[in-house]
Amino acid sequence: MDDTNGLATAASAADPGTGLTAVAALRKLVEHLESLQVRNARARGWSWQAIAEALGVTRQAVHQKHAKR
Amino acid sequence: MFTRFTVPARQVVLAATEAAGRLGAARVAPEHLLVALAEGGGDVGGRVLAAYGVTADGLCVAITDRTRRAGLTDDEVTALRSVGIDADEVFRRIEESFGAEALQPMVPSTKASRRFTPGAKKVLERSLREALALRHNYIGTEHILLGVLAEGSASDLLAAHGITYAGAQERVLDELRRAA
Repeated sequence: MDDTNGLATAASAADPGTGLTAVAALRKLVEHLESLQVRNARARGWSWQAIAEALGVTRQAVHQKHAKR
Repeated sequence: MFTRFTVPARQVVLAATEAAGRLGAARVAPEHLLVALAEGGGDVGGRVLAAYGVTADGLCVAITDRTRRAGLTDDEVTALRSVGIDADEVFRRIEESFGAEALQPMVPSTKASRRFTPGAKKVLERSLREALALRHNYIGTEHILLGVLAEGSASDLLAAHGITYAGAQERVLDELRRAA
Protein backbone atom coordinates (compact mmCIF):
# COMPACT_ATOMS: atom_id res chain seq x y z
CA MET A 1 0.00 0.00 0.00
CA ASP A 2 1.53 3.34 -1.01
CA ASP A 3 1.42 6.56 1.05
CA THR A 4 -1.55 8.15 -0.70
CA ASN A 5 -3.51 4.98 -0.31
CA GLY A 6 -2.53 4.75 3.37
CA LEU A 7 -3.69 8.33 4.01
CA ALA A 8 -6.99 7.76 2.26
CA THR A 9 -7.50 4.65 4.38
CA ALA A 10 -6.68 6.45 7.63
CA ALA A 11 -9.05 9.27 6.72
CA SER A 12 -11.98 6.99 6.02
CA ALA A 13 -11.42 4.98 9.22
CA ALA A 14 -11.85 8.23 11.18
CA ASP A 15 -15.37 8.44 9.77
CA PRO A 16 -17.77 6.97 12.38
CA GLY A 17 -19.91 5.32 9.71
CA THR A 18 -16.98 3.41 8.25
CA GLY A 19 -15.49 2.66 11.67
CA LEU A 20 -18.75 1.30 13.08
CA THR A 21 -19.46 -0.72 9.94
CA ALA A 22 -15.98 -2.21 10.31
CA VAL A 23 -16.72 -3.14 13.94
CA ALA A 24 -20.03 -4.79 12.99
CA ALA A 25 -18.29 -6.64 10.15
CA LEU A 26 -15.57 -7.81 12.53
CA ARG A 27 -18.21 -9.29 14.83
CA LYS A 28 -19.66 -11.28 11.93
CA LEU A 29 -16.18 -12.41 10.97
CA VAL A 30 -15.37 -13.43 14.56
CA GLU A 31 -18.58 -15.47 14.85
CA HIS A 32 -17.81 -17.19 11.59
CA LEU A 33 -14.19 -17.95 12.48
CA GLU A 34 -15.21 -19.15 15.94
CA SER A 35 -17.70 -21.69 14.64
CA LEU A 36 -15.24 -22.80 11.97
CA GLN A 37 -12.41 -23.27 14.46
CA VAL A 38 -14.61 -24.99 17.05
CA ARG A 39 -15.90 -27.44 14.44
CA ASN A 40 -12.35 -28.12 13.32
CA ALA A 41 -11.15 -28.66 16.89
CA ARG A 42 -14.06 -31.04 17.62
CA ALA A 43 -13.34 -32.94 14.39
CA ARG A 44 -9.75 -33.36 15.61
CA GLY A 45 -10.92 -34.73 18.93
CA TRP A 46 -10.51 -31.67 21.15
CA SER A 47 -12.63 -31.75 24.31
CA TRP A 48 -15.12 -28.95 25.04
CA GLN A 49 -12.96 -28.13 28.06
CA ALA A 50 -9.83 -27.67 25.93
CA ILE A 51 -11.71 -25.55 23.38
CA ALA A 52 -13.20 -23.39 26.14
CA GLU A 53 -9.76 -22.79 27.66
CA ALA A 54 -8.29 -21.78 24.31
CA LEU A 55 -11.20 -19.38 23.72
CA GLY A 56 -11.03 -18.04 27.26
CA VAL A 57 -14.66 -18.84 28.09
CA THR A 58 -16.41 -21.45 30.25
CA ARG A 59 -16.98 -24.97 29.02
CA GLN A 60 -20.75 -24.48 29.44
CA ALA A 61 -20.68 -21.35 27.27
CA VAL A 62 -18.83 -22.96 24.39
CA HIS A 63 -20.88 -26.16 24.62
CA GLN A 64 -24.19 -24.30 24.69
CA LYS A 65 -23.21 -22.19 21.71
CA HIS A 66 -21.70 -24.84 19.47
CA ALA A 67 -22.80 -28.32 20.54
CA LYS A 68 -25.96 -28.43 18.43
CA ARG A 69 -24.20 -27.60 15.20
CA MET B 1 -51.09 -11.39 10.48
CA PHE B 2 -51.25 -13.15 7.09
CA THR B 3 -54.99 -12.58 6.67
CA ARG B 4 -54.45 -9.31 4.81
CA PHE B 5 -51.81 -10.79 2.49
CA THR B 6 -52.82 -11.09 -1.17
CA VAL B 7 -52.48 -14.49 -2.84
CA PRO B 8 -49.25 -13.49 -4.68
CA ALA B 9 -47.84 -12.13 -1.39
CA ARG B 10 -48.55 -15.43 0.35
CA GLN B 11 -46.90 -17.23 -2.54
CA VAL B 12 -43.83 -15.04 -2.09
CA VAL B 13 -43.59 -16.03 1.58
CA LEU B 14 -43.87 -19.70 0.60
CA ALA B 15 -41.42 -19.38 -2.31
CA ALA B 16 -38.94 -17.64 0.02
CA THR B 17 -38.71 -20.77 2.18
CA GLU B 18 -38.05 -22.79 -0.98
CA ALA B 19 -35.38 -20.31 -2.11
CA ALA B 20 -33.72 -20.53 1.32
CA GLY B 21 -33.61 -24.31 0.92
CA ARG B 22 -32.08 -24.14 -2.55
CA LEU B 23 -29.42 -21.73 -1.32
CA GLY B 24 -28.60 -24.01 1.61
CA ALA B 25 -29.69 -21.53 4.28
CA ALA B 26 -30.94 -22.82 7.63
CA ARG B 27 -33.41 -19.98 8.01
CA VAL B 28 -35.43 -17.76 5.73
CA ALA B 29 -33.78 -14.33 5.52
CA PRO B 30 -34.80 -11.07 3.80
CA GLU B 31 -32.68 -11.92 0.72
CA HIS B 32 -34.80 -15.06 0.18
CA LEU B 33 -37.93 -12.92 0.16
CA LEU B 34 -36.24 -10.87 -2.58
CA VAL B 35 -35.51 -13.97 -4.67
CA ALA B 36 -39.15 -15.01 -4.27
CA LEU B 37 -40.33 -11.54 -5.30
CA ALA B 38 -38.16 -11.66 -8.44
CA GLU B 39 -39.43 -15.17 -9.26
CA GLY B 40 -43.04 -14.09 -9.02
CA GLY B 41 -42.40 -11.62 -11.81
CA GLY B 42 -46.02 -10.99 -12.77
CA ASP B 43 -47.07 -9.20 -9.60
CA VAL B 44 -46.28 -5.57 -8.68
CA GLY B 45 -43.19 -6.33 -6.53
CA GLY B 46 -41.71 -8.54 -9.23
CA ARG B 47 -42.51 -6.04 -12.00
CA VAL B 48 -40.71 -3.27 -10.11
CA LEU B 49 -37.65 -5.50 -9.64
CA ALA B 50 -37.72 -6.49 -13.33
CA ALA B 51 -37.88 -2.80 -14.32
CA TYR B 52 -34.55 -2.35 -12.53
CA GLY B 53 -33.09 -5.39 -14.28
CA VAL B 54 -33.11 -7.60 -11.18
CA THR B 55 -33.50 -11.32 -11.87
CA ALA B 56 -33.92 -14.21 -9.44
CA ASP B 57 -30.84 -15.91 -10.89
CA GLY B 58 -28.73 -12.78 -10.50
CA LEU B 59 -29.82 -12.42 -6.89
CA CYS B 60 -28.96 -16.07 -6.17
CA VAL B 61 -25.44 -15.56 -7.54
CA ALA B 62 -24.98 -12.42 -5.40
CA ILE B 63 -26.29 -14.22 -2.30
CA THR B 64 -23.92 -17.15 -2.88
CA ASP B 65 -21.01 -14.70 -3.23
CA ARG B 66 -21.99 -13.06 0.02
CA THR B 67 -22.19 -16.44 1.75
CA ARG B 68 -18.71 -17.27 0.54
CA ARG B 69 -17.55 -14.15 2.37
CA ALA B 70 -19.16 -15.16 5.67
CA GLY B 71 -22.17 -12.96 4.93
CA LEU B 72 -20.14 -9.76 4.67
CA THR B 73 -21.39 -7.16 2.19
CA ASP B 74 -19.13 -5.17 -0.15
CA ASP B 75 -19.47 -2.17 2.16
CA GLU B 76 -18.40 -4.23 5.15
CA VAL B 77 -15.37 -5.61 3.32
CA THR B 78 -14.41 -2.04 2.35
CA ALA B 79 -14.91 -0.82 5.93
CA LEU B 80 -12.69 -3.61 7.23
CA ARG B 81 -10.00 -2.66 4.74
CA SER B 82 -10.13 0.92 6.06
CA VAL B 83 -9.21 -0.32 9.55
CA GLY B 84 -6.43 -2.46 8.13
CA ILE B 85 -8.11 -5.83 7.75
CA ASP B 86 -8.05 -7.57 4.40
CA ALA B 87 -11.15 -9.75 4.70
CA ASP B 88 -10.60 -11.30 1.27
CA GLU B 89 -7.19 -12.49 2.46
CA VAL B 90 -8.85 -14.02 5.55
CA PHE B 91 -11.35 -15.87 3.32
CA ARG B 92 -8.56 -16.98 0.99
CA ARG B 93 -6.69 -18.51 3.92
CA ILE B 94 -9.82 -20.19 5.27
CA GLU B 95 -10.36 -21.81 1.88
CA GLU B 96 -6.71 -22.80 1.79
CA SER B 97 -6.82 -24.46 5.23
CA PHE B 98 -10.33 -25.83 5.32
CA GLY B 99 -11.43 -26.04 1.69
CA ALA B 100 -14.07 -24.01 -0.14
CA GLU B 101 -16.90 -25.80 1.73
CA ALA B 102 -15.77 -24.18 4.99
CA LEU B 103 -17.33 -20.91 3.91
CA GLN B 104 -20.56 -22.49 2.77
CA PRO B 105 -23.66 -22.25 4.99
CA MET B 106 -23.23 -23.96 8.34
CA VAL B 107 -26.44 -25.98 8.35
CA PRO B 108 -27.61 -26.96 4.86
CA SER B 109 -30.97 -28.11 6.14
CA THR B 110 -33.63 -29.83 4.06
CA LYS B 111 -36.36 -29.31 6.64
CA ALA B 112 -39.62 -28.12 5.10
CA SER B 113 -40.69 -26.02 8.09
CA ARG B 114 -37.93 -23.49 7.89
CA ARG B 115 -37.94 -20.69 10.45
CA PHE B 116 -37.68 -17.01 9.57
CA THR B 117 -34.74 -14.90 10.77
CA PRO B 118 -35.57 -11.89 12.98
CA GLY B 119 -34.74 -9.75 9.92
CA ALA B 120 -37.26 -11.58 7.73
CA LYS B 121 -39.94 -11.27 10.43
CA LYS B 122 -39.20 -7.58 10.60
CA VAL B 123 -39.66 -7.34 6.80
CA LEU B 124 -43.12 -8.91 7.06
CA GLU B 125 -44.10 -6.63 9.94
CA ARG B 126 -42.72 -3.71 8.02
CA SER B 127 -44.74 -4.66 4.93
CA LEU B 128 -47.90 -4.10 6.97
CA ARG B 129 -46.70 -0.62 7.88
CA GLU B 130 -45.82 0.09 4.24
CA ALA B 131 -49.37 -0.88 3.24
CA LEU B 132 -50.86 1.34 5.95
CA ALA B 133 -48.63 4.25 4.95
CA LEU B 134 -49.93 3.98 1.36
CA ARG B 135 -53.52 3.59 2.69
CA HIS B 136 -53.84 0.15 1.14
CA ASN B 137 -56.16 -2.33 2.82
CA TYR B 138 -54.15 -5.35 1.67
CA ILE B 139 -50.51 -6.45 1.90
CA GLY B 140 -49.14 -7.18 -1.54
CA THR B 141 -45.78 -8.10 -3.03
CA GLU B 142 -45.02 -4.38 -3.45
CA HIS B 143 -45.26 -3.87 0.31
CA ILE B 144 -42.97 -6.84 0.94
CA LEU B 145 -40.43 -5.29 -1.47
CA LEU B 146 -40.61 -1.95 0.35
CA GLY B 147 -40.36 -3.86 3.63
CA VAL B 148 -37.12 -5.50 2.47
CA LEU B 149 -35.70 -2.08 1.55
CA ALA B 150 -36.83 -0.53 4.85
CA GLU B 151 -35.45 -3.39 6.94
CA GLY B 152 -32.12 -2.90 5.19
CA SER B 153 -30.11 -6.10 5.63
CA ALA B 154 -30.65 -7.19 2.01
CA SER B 155 -30.79 -3.71 0.51
CA ASP B 156 -27.13 -3.94 -0.58
CA LEU B 157 -28.24 -6.58 -3.11
CA LEU B 158 -30.64 -3.99 -4.56
CA ALA B 159 -28.29 -1.02 -4.20
CA ALA B 160 -26.08 -2.79 -6.76
CA HIS B 161 -28.94 -2.15 -9.23
CA GLY B 162 -29.42 1.43 -8.09
CA ILE B 163 -32.59 0.64 -6.14
CA THR B 164 -33.31 2.80 -3.11
CA TYR B 165 -36.35 2.81 -0.83
CA ALA B 166 -37.59 6.15 -2.22
CA GLY B 167 -37.00 5.12 -5.83
CA ALA B 168 -38.77 1.81 -5.38
CA GLN B 169 -41.73 3.47 -3.67
CA GLU B 170 -42.13 5.81 -6.63
CA ARG B 171 -42.04 2.88 -9.08
CA VAL B 172 -44.59 0.99 -7.00
CA LEU B 173 -46.97 3.93 -7.20
CA ASP B 174 -46.35 4.19 -10.98
CA GLU B 175 -47.10 0.50 -11.40
CA LEU B 176 -50.29 0.76 -9.36
CA ARG B 177 -51.46 3.81 -11.35
CA ARG B 178 -50.79 1.95 -14.57
CA ALA B 179 -52.71 -1.10 -13.35
CA ALA B 180 -55.65 1.00 -12.15
